[in-house]
Amino acid sequence: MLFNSLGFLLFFPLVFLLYWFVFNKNLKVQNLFLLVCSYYFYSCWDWRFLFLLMTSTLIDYYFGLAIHNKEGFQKKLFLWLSIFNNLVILGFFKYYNFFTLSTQNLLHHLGFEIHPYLLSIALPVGISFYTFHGMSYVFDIYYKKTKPVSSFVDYAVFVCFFPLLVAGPIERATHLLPQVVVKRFFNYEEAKAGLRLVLWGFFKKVVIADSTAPLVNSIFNAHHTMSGLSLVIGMICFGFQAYGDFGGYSDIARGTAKLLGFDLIINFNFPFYAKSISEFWRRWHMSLNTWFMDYLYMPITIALRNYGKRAIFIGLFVTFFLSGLWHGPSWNYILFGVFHGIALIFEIRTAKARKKLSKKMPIGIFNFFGRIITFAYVLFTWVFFRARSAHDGANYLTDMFTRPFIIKPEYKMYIQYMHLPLLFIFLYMVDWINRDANNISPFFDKIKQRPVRYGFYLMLVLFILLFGTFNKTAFIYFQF
Amino acid sequence: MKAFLRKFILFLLLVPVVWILGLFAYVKVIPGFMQTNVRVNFYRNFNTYTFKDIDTVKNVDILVAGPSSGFRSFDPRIFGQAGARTFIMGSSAQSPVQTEYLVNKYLDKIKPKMFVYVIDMQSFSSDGAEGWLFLMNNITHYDGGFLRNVMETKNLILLNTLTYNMVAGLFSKPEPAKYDFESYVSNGFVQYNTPYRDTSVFSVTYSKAKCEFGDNQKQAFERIIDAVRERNIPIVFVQTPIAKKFFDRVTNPDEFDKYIQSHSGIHYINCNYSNFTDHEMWDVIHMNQSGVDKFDHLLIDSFTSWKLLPIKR
Repeated sequence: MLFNSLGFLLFFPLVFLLYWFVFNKNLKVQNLFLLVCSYYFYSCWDWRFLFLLMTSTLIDYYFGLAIHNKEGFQKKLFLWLSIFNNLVILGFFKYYNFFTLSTQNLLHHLGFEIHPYLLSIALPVGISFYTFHGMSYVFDIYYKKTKPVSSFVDYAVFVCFFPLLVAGPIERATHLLPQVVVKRFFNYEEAKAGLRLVLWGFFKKVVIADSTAPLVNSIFNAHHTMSGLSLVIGMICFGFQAYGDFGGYSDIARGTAKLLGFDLIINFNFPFYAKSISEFWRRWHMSLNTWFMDYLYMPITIALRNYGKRAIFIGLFVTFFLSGLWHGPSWNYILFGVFHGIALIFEIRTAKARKKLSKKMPIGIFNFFGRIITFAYVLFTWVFFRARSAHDGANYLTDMFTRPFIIKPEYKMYIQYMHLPLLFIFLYMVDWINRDANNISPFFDKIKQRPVRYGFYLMLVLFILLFGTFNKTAFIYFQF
Repeated sequence: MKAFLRKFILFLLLVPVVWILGLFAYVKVIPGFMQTNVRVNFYRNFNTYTFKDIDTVKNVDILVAGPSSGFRSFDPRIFGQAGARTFIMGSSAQSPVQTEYLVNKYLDKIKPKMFVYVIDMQSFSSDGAEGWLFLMNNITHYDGGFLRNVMETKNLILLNTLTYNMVAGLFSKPEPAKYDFESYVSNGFVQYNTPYRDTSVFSVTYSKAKCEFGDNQKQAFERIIDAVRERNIPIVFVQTPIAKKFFDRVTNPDEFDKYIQSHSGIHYINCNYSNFTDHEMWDVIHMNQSGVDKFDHLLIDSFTSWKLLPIKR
């Protein structure tokens, strides 16, 4: 079930009413209701993979208890068993074919021929998200940041809560579990903020992302025949599509959770205004980035602390290599991660020089160039993210600089997309006005007059109805 | 909670009002080529006259249904010379789901002696939304069956266009767009006045694609056949010729032919294997008038050999 489907528009109001008016008397029953709804939500995609989700949840639940109850070697053993279990599930369903084919290619170059067995099964939706939820739970228990929950239902709600089940944000046990185990009360202000997030999320998803998708697809699919200018446009448009898509999904997820009395962690914080790549990763897919930082980067740098700065560089490189791989079993995603890892290492190495430079020029100009360079670099790396393969991404960038800059008849292709620049500017302006806040709600609060505020809401609804695209476009991050 | 629900419901009540006002502003202010979510101007064509004529038509021998390749190929004047009064119940992008709606609505009223169904692979693989758009812009009245069909598509563009047309229809009945290159003759036939549109389209190499036939279209197709057979009306399936390179782009035409031929007792002519050339085409899917002449005489000969012509009254 997609957020932007008629099914969800019927499903969620029903859940909301039953949740607050029928099942609100007893927390256990309310949580059980949430779990049933979450499983139903997931089964709408493919009910067969529900058993995988349940099994994964059950195993991590028991490993959590075991890690908490044991000490020393046994504690560590259960942690590693849990990590092994999650990585086996993820590796089997998501990475088996990739590693098998990569090995086959490597051996072919070395003169050996093998014909491995390849799987032909669909990737279970949300697998990267719910396995990371489970892993964060056992890590936090191991590091004594949290205690295991006694109720399986409570734990299962933490893993499978439907707003975040298929595309995040990747929650932490320390943040979400305490909200699951206490009674929740309806809060008018939170519900209002939730509705605003849902509305803004829909705007970003169906008006910005899905309206841009056909143009981006037509440019990326035929980049070898396009002009350099079109390839630049395609690259920029994909930036807006990716932000609108994943940012919009996260807003809807956070908004629906707020309407049910939960506060999910912030996943996007106006990433287009980042002045450096390190700042970009503090604003883009923050839940994934902090997960990798806490559970991978920190342990690596601590383990290699005797190597000084090199430990940081190794930590960053490995973290972003694996972060790229997390996005998909393909070398283009790995390259995307590696380019960001390299940029972060570069930023650390040039920190002093950049600080000196910032003192020599007005801070506004320095920040302006910082934003432009960061945005441009991110767009270049996103070409690999969007491309079909690493080779395809490289060809796209080569074509951008080698093909004729303008091919006249191409302008016809853009006629039906003439409204997109205006929508991009609108999105950019709203984000700019709101850049110091961490969600959209304060922006609406800035509009003091109620009729104007309601007019703005209605305008967004109109944008969705008149410019939105509802052709069952899945969210980009569903594939992860 | 009560205050929240009250305000939310009030807001929801405001939405339809603003939506309708917004639809008008959208259609009137935004240039037509940018109107992606409301489709009116381009979609209002000569089919308007067809659905005006259909209310008055009587004593039809041959009823033709199907997409534009049908209403641009069957010239009632040529069939009239062979003694068959012909009406073409065609509309642009008509797919089986639209044909089923039209058959249910008009078959008993028109009572034809023969039913010719113009089929093509494209319409069987479409979701039908475009066909509904053309119909809703060219019919004069939306009945319950039409509204139910449109709602079942769950398509926002259709919903926007339908709402706009229903409200705009209260104030005025707009005329269809007219072009010099074509003219409406009568009985649903639209004639091209020029020999071709742009000859370069015949030399383009189209990327290969497999046609995936939609289940809903196949089911509608079967129901059409059942409805016509129940009334003991002979059926003929026809594929009109399309440009050679355009036909070759589809990788599975045999699959479609096999499916159509699986309906026993129904004659089937696929003109893509007949002696037509690109010189007889106006564009890649429609014939020019010399192609229409040749096509119609070929059909009359076939109908005669199958003893469907002359019509027994």
